[in-house]
Amino acid sequence: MSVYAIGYGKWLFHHYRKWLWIYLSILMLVFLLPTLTMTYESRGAMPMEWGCVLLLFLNQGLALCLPIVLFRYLMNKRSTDLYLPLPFRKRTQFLLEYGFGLLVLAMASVIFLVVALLREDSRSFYPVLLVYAMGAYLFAAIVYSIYTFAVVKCNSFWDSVVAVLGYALLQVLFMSSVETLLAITVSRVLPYGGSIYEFFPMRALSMLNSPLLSSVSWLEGISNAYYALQTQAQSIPIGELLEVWLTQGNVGVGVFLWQALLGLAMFWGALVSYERRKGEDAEQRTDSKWIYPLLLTGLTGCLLLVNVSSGSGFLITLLVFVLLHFVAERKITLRFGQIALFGAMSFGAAALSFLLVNTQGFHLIHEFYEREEIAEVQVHMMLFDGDWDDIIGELPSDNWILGENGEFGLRTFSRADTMITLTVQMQKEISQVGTDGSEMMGNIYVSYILNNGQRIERWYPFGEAQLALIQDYIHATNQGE
Amino acid sequence: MLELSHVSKCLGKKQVLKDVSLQIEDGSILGLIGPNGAGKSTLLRMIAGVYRCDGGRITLDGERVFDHREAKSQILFISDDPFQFFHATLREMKAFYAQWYELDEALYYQYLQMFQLDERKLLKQFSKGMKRQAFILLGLAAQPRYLLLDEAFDGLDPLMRRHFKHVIAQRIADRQMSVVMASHDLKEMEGLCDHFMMLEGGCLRYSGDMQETLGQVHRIQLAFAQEVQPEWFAQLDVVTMNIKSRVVNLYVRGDVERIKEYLKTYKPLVMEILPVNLEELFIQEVMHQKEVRR
Repeated sequence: MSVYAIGYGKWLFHHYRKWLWIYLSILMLVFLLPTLTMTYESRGAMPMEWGCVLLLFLNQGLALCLPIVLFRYLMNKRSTDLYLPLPFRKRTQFLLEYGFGLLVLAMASVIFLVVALLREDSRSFYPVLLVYAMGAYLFAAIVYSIYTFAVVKCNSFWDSVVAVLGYALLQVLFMSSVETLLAITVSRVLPYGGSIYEFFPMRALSMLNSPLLSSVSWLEGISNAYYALQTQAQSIPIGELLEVWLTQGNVGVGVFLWQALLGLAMFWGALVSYERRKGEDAEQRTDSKWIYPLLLTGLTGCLLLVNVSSGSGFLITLLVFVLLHFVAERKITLRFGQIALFGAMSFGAAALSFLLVNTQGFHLIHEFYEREEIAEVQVHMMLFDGDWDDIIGELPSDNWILGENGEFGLRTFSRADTMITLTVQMQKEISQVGTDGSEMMGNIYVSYILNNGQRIERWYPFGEAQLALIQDYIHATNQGE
Repeated sequence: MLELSHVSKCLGKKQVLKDVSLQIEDGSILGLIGPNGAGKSTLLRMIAGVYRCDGGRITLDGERVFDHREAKSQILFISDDPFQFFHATLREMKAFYAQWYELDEALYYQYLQMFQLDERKLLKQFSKGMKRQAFILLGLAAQPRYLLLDEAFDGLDPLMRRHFKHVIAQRIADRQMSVVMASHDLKEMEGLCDHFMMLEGGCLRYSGDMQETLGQVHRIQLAFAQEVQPEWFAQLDVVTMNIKSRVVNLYVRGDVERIKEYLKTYKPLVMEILPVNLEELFIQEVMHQKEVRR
């Protein structure tokens, strides 16, 4: 590294020293004070839980702001006249600014880990906190790379703010839109139960999830694992906790690898864009296809996926589309291309929704399971009015219990072959018998645990037409036993 | 040596510079003149490495300047409206420039006293002229091999201009520093620069030694006994010609003796040959180009 590069690195710390001191003071205040003074009301609270949440927000917030601050000199003609003639290669200059940002981003994680040593209960929990902090930093660094890519493509300060906020929103909106669309599809194909996690590879799709949302899942994972393993004695083996968290949480090795690749790609894209950037672009209109065209298409597309079947939602989406065009063009424009684009996107969203419903989720959604796939079964019934005694007489066996408020069902999940076979048959038969809503007497809930551990839920309303079927089912299970 | 070879540049859809070629020798003061929008600031920014050439190349000792560390370390650019950091003092800007250039502290304080500036005061509190002085001071103290100044005299009072010219001349003599300065103050440029180049419409119209080039253009006032015919002067390299009945004002390029001999053949009653200064040359050349384009 040349003497100029080292000098520039030193100068960066000198230039931002006031802000670094302020940030360090804030970190000490918000991490140190609660850690030393906070007493948990319940004995079961996870050590440094407050710190884990705070670390997430600080990392993500700083990752959003840093690129705008560090590269704002590119947005102004006067500052480019000062910075660009400096004796570096553009690549070196970018790497120094980017690297400085990574160091600033690490400050919160370092303070978090230092402060965690000050409290006795978090010292024993340290390996978990270390893994958490490293993962949270990695996600923040990936997000920082994404926003740096966006900022380097912009030519004005306000464009860079819109770009960063737009990229952040797109991350949140994309998976939410996909999940909503799939949920609507499942509810239309299977009005009586079923979830997107049953039919669609949501864990694989979650790899497409943004690093922003993955970092939230990362926090949820540690929290869920901790409380799932919590015992009265509150001594959770660290190794077991780590295993549960890393293998059963939503963020596995695959997600890390995929998003690390994404972060590297964004870093490389930012570097190349910085090198190719022209000095005369400062204060000009941002015309990169990675900013307004991408944000416009992405945000509108996500909203259309969710709102294509809703009239008011469609109008809101149209309004957002027009607004984004206004922000991009700095004037109200109405071009044939814009109308055609919106029309094509609306048609595409509607066509996708139609296809999903009419092909039953590309043949992924199905109502029934075969006996060979099922390991356990549970059945509950709810009577809206009346008495189960009038329908079934005496309880068929000890396996069936009569609860309060019209409930009746199996005591626990049953592994009995007869029970499973009869339940599968009953489900198929009851689904074929329609009900007139006014005749509904109650609901029957069927739960399966499949051989792969997945839990399936279905429910069906029943009326007079299904009563005989239910009575036969209950007596058949009793005889089977 | 700094060399520009067939340099072209477009900003947006407008071609700002077309096929500009020039050599800037070490130890010279090059004046860059031209009307507004001629491409002077663009050219300076290209030499400084802010803009990349669309065509041609700019080299320093054979190495391309753009994105080249060693070349850029020898060039310092002071724009017409220099940028300072938020809440920066002159001392802090000095510390910034000292990172990249061989800033001479003794020179810095010498110029500080000469320009009577307070280095602890915030730069944003300086007047326009004081800010200009501050950055010229930094540029001179940094001792680059090539100092590029855009609107060098803008905002400087006459006394400061005198100091500035004295300092520039001294630095050139001491250290073989070269200065490339753009300015609209042609009188000052004529007194300071030993070379100049004139840009007009993005093209190079004149370049070379100041006195030599000015010596090649002559203002000639003629009076004749009869009505003047424009065809009489067709054989001359006329820059501009103003005919009022029997009186002619000519700006002509070429050897003065041969021009005199030629004009004598038309038997003028009066023939007066006057020296041309840089401002006159500039005005006449710009008018001529406008006529040509029309």
